[in-house]
Amino acid sequence: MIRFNIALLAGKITSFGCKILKNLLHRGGSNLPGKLALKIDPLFLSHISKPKTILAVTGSNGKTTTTNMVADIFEKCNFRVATNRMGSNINTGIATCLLNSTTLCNKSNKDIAVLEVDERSSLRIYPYVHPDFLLVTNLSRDSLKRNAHPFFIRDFIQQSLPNDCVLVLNADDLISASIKPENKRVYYGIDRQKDDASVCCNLINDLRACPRCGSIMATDFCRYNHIGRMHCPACGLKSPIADVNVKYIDYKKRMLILANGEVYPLLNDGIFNIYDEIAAIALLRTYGIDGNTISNALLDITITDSRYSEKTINGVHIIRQMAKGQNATACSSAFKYVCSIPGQKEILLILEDPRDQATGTENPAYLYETDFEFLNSLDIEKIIISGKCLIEDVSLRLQLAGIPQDKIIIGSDDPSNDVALFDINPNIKLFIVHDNYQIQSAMSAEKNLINAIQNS
Amino acid sequence: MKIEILFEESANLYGDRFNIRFLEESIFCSGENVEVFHTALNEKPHFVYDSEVNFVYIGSMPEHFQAFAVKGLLPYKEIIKQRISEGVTFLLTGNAGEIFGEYIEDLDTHWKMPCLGFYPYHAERRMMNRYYSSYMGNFNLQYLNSSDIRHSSSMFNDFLTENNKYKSFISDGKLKIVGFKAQFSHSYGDNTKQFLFKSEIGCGMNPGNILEGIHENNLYSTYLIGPLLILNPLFTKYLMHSMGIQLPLLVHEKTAISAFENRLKNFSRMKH
Repeated sequence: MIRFNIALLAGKITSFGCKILKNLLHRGGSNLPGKLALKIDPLFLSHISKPKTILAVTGSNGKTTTTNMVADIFEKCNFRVATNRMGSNINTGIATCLLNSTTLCNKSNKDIAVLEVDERSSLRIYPYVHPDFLLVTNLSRDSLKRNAHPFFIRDFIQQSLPNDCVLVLNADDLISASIKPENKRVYYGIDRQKDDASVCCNLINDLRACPRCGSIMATDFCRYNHIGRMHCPACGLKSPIADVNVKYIDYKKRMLILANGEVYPLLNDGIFNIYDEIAAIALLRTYGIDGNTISNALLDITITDSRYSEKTINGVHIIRQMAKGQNATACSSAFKYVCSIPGQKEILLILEDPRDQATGTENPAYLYETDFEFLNSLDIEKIIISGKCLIEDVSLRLQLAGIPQDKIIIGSDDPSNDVALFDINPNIKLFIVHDNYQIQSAMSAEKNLINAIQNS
Repeated sequence: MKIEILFEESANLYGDRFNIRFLEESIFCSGENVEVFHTALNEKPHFVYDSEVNFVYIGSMPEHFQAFAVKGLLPYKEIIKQRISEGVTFLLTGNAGEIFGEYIEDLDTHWKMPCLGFYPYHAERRMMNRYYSSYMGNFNLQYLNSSDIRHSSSMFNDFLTENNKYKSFISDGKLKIVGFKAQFSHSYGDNTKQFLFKSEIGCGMNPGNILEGIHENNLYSTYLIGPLLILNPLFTKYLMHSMGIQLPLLVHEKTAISAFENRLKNFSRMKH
C-alpha cells in the first residue's frame, strides 16, 4: 500500500499542476496524473477507492455523447458524478478521473461514476474497476489495425466483464446484443420507421451471415450496415425484443415516443444521436431514474456535435464535417449526410491520418469498405483530395465508385492551399470533410476559405 | 470469363471484395465478357459442376467463419484438388488460405480445427496478439512449374514486352509487391518450394520466415490485404495474362499504377 499512497500523492500533485496549466493555457484535460500513478503502482486502479456505483459506456460509436448525456442527467439529479468526459477513455484516463474523485485519504467523494471506456482497454480496466452496469452502444468495423472486426471486439469485451454486471444493450445490433449471454441484460431499440430500408445499402454488413450457423440472414429492416432487425430462417437466431423501445420518432414535434407510452424530447435528428439518446435513457431507467426526471433533464441538454460546423459567408455556405479516421462506418455516414443536403456541392476531402502520413504507410483498405458511392451524385460538382500518401488511392476509389475523373481534383498535402480550388459561388455549398486528427488542418483550411470568400 | 466468389456474405473483411470488382472491371476493359457468381455457404459452388469457371476467390473472414467455410468446402475437396491441377485460378487473401492447410489451432483455448489439408502447413492463432505490418516483397515472374517451363517462360517474355513501360517495377524477373498484413494468426510449414512472395519488409508465412504465401499452378494464397489486386496492378495484369487474356488492360490503369508507384517509393524509403 506504500506504493499506492505514493502514487496517489504524486497523482494528486500532478493533477493540481495540470489544472493550473489548463487554466493558464486554456487546454483540455490531461492523462498525466493517471499515467504517473499507474507507473508508480501498476495496480492503482484496483487500490483506488471508487464511488458506490460504477456505470461504464463502451462501443464503436457514440460513447462520448452517451457518457456525457448520462453524466449530465445524473448531475441534474444532484448526484456527485465522477466522469472522464475531459480525459481519455483508456486506463490512464480512468485512473486520472478516479484520482480526481477521491481524497488524499483514499475516500471517494462521488456518489456515482459514469466512465467512457475504450473497447480495446477492457482487459486493463474491468478487472480493477468493476462496472455495475455496462452500456454497449454498438459494435461496428473500426481501425483494422487495432479492432479487426466487431466479433473480435465483442469477444474481447466479454472476456473481462464480471458476471454480475448488468448489461444495457442495443437490440438493433445483434453483434453487441450477444455479449455475455449469461449476464442480466436490458435491451433498447427503435422500431421500424418509415425511412428504414428492407435491405442494407452499405458495403459493410457484418450480419449477412448468421454468426451461429453461417446461413444467410433475413433482414426485417435495416438502418445502416448491420444495425436493424433480422432473423436467421435456418436456426432461428433473431434480434432480441427491446425493453426500452422507441415506437415512433416524431421529427415535427421533436419527440421520442416509446412503446410503453413514455415520451422524451428529441435532441438531435441524426440517427446516430437518436441511438445515443435512447441508450442513455435505457441506462438511466435501468439504474432506477424515473422517466419524468429523465425527460425534464433532457430538456436542458443539447448534443453539441463537435464533428460538424456550418457558416455562411457572403451567401456562401461552408460546412465542416468530421469523419472518424480509418473508420468506414463514420466516413460512409459523413458522405451520406453530405449527399442529403440539397443543392450543388463541392467537397474537399482531408482523410489521411497525419500520424501515418510521416511514414507513408497508411493502409487504404478502409477506403474499400467506405461507401464512396454516395458521392456519385449529379449535384456534386467537384471533389478535391488533399493528402500526401493516399491521394492516388482516394482518387482510384472515387473512380471505382463511378465518379467521372473530371470531377476529381488532386490537391496537395496542404489543405489550406487546396481551398483555392473551390468555386466560390453562393449557389454551391462547400464541404470540408476531414479525419478526426486533421481538425487543425481543416480549421485552417476553413479560415483560408473564409478569407478568400471575403476578398472575392 | 467466369469468376466465382465464395462466401462473400462473411469473407469480405478489409475491403477484400474489391479485389474482384477491380478484376471484373479490368477484364471487361480488356474486351472480354465476364460473369461473376456469388456462392453462399450452403450453396453448391459453380466450379463443382462447371469446369469453365476460370477464377475462384475467397477473401478475409472473421475467425469464427473459418469453421463454417471448411465444413462448406469439405464435400468438394476432391473437385477442388482437381480444379487446382487443371489450372483454374484460385486466389485466397487474408486468412482465407488457412482453410487450405492442415489445421488451425487456437493457442489460447487449445482448440484445434482440421482443415482441407491441401498443403503441408497449419495456422496458429492468438486472438490477443494482433499482428500488423506493411509489406513489400517480390513475385517471381519466371515461375517455373516443372511441367510447364516453356509456357511460363513465354508468358514471362510476353508480359515483359506488353508492359515495357513498367519495366522499372521489374528487376531480375521479379515484380515488386506491396501490401499490408493485419491478422491474429500465422502459418507454419515448409513453403520453400511453393512460396508466393519473398519478403523485404514484413514477414512471410510467419515472423520467422521471409517466404510468404503459397503458389501452386494457378493457386495463389497470401495473407496480404490492401486489397491485394488493387495495390498491385501489375500482379493483376499478370494474373489476367495467366488466365488467357492476351492484352490485359486495367480499369483506371493510370491512377492504379500511380498509386502503386507512390506506395513503392514510400515503402522502399522505409526499407532504407
